Amino acid sequence: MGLSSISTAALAFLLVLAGSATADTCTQNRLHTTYPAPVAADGWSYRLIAHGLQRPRSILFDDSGALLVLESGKGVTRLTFDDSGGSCLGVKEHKTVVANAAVSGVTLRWFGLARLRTRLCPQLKLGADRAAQPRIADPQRLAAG
Amino acid sequence: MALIAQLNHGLQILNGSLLASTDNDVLSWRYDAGAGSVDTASQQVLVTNMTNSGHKTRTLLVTSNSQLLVSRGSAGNADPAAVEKSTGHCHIRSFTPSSTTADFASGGETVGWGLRNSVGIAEHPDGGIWSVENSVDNLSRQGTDIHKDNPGEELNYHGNVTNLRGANHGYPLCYALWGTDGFPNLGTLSVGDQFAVEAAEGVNVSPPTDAQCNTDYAAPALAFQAHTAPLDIVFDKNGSNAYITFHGSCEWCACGRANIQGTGRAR
Repeated sequence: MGLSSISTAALAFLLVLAGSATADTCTQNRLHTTYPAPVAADGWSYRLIAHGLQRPRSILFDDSGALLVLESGKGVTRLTFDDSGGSCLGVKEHKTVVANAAVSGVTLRWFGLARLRTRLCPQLKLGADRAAQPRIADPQRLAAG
Repeated sequence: MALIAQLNHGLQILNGSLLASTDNDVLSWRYDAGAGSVDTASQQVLVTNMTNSGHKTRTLLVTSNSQLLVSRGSAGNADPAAVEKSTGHCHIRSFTPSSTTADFASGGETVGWGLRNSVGIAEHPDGGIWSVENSVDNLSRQGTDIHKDNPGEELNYHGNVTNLRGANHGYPLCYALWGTDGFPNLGTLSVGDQFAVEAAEGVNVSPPTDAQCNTDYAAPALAFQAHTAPLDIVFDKNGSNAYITFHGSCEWCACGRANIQGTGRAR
């Protein structure tokens, strides 16, 4: 399961992008976007799992499995979820870990997501000023909005 | 709960400490994951002196060998200070966290420089370090306005965590080619190659040639459509896929219709 973050100027959301499309049987989470909904590519689905965040910029799991969110201008917030499988998550706890003293503003608007397939080519050799690196195949758009 | 000003983007965990960044500092606190709280008395400044006008986020990445990578973007669209390596403008640098605060520009090791605003950084499972670059606006070349489709955004490779390249990726002297239609003096350049432009205001070095841009500066592994603004990159567990988020720009392209493509070749 992958995670991505989006925001508008006023409100911000977290959504989960899942690798397989499933029927919506999630009963604990009825959140919807208030702007034109993102479009997922074939075989991918997404669900809004948290809202009311202030300019979320970075996300990270801690060792207890909680999600830390850097809310720009606000600080570091910790979210735990009830997990009903797939993308069906709902916020269980919401706690401030580090608080900003003053509000600053950086706006992130989620536009698109692309997946690039990489293939490792171990036969590439290090050159004098070129390093071996993986080959990259054609990109695929996963979601846009 | 710790109280600190202006955390704006960076967030990582290293050896049981929470790390976050302002536009000037990287801060750390001992973090209890079970309790979900930091020890405010343990606050340290790991890296400092990063502020500049313009780009304010300082992306953090903790590597598999416990180094701290920090990315610092430009002061404005075309930043003359980025030509001088000692300013630390437009660098990704690698630090070994310690109890002594490091100066960004003079401390640590160069991961790459000449990077206008590389907000996304990731480590591939094989230890390779990759970044995504938000390249320049309003570009002209030889009197021709090429800004609509140039330069390309970039996916850059920085070598393995154990052997970082520290290369200069071109900004503000050399940029990645994306749109070839109407491109002045295209010659033998192809998408993903570097090209030269006239020196921006305040840049006090002679511009390189296209040939020099391709021999003396590191070209991207992939170029992306101009102004699509890649902001993050993550690899999946076995490293067969990279996922990149694109912010886009409604000023330079039709909203919602930017064609996200990448072309390039292994270098």
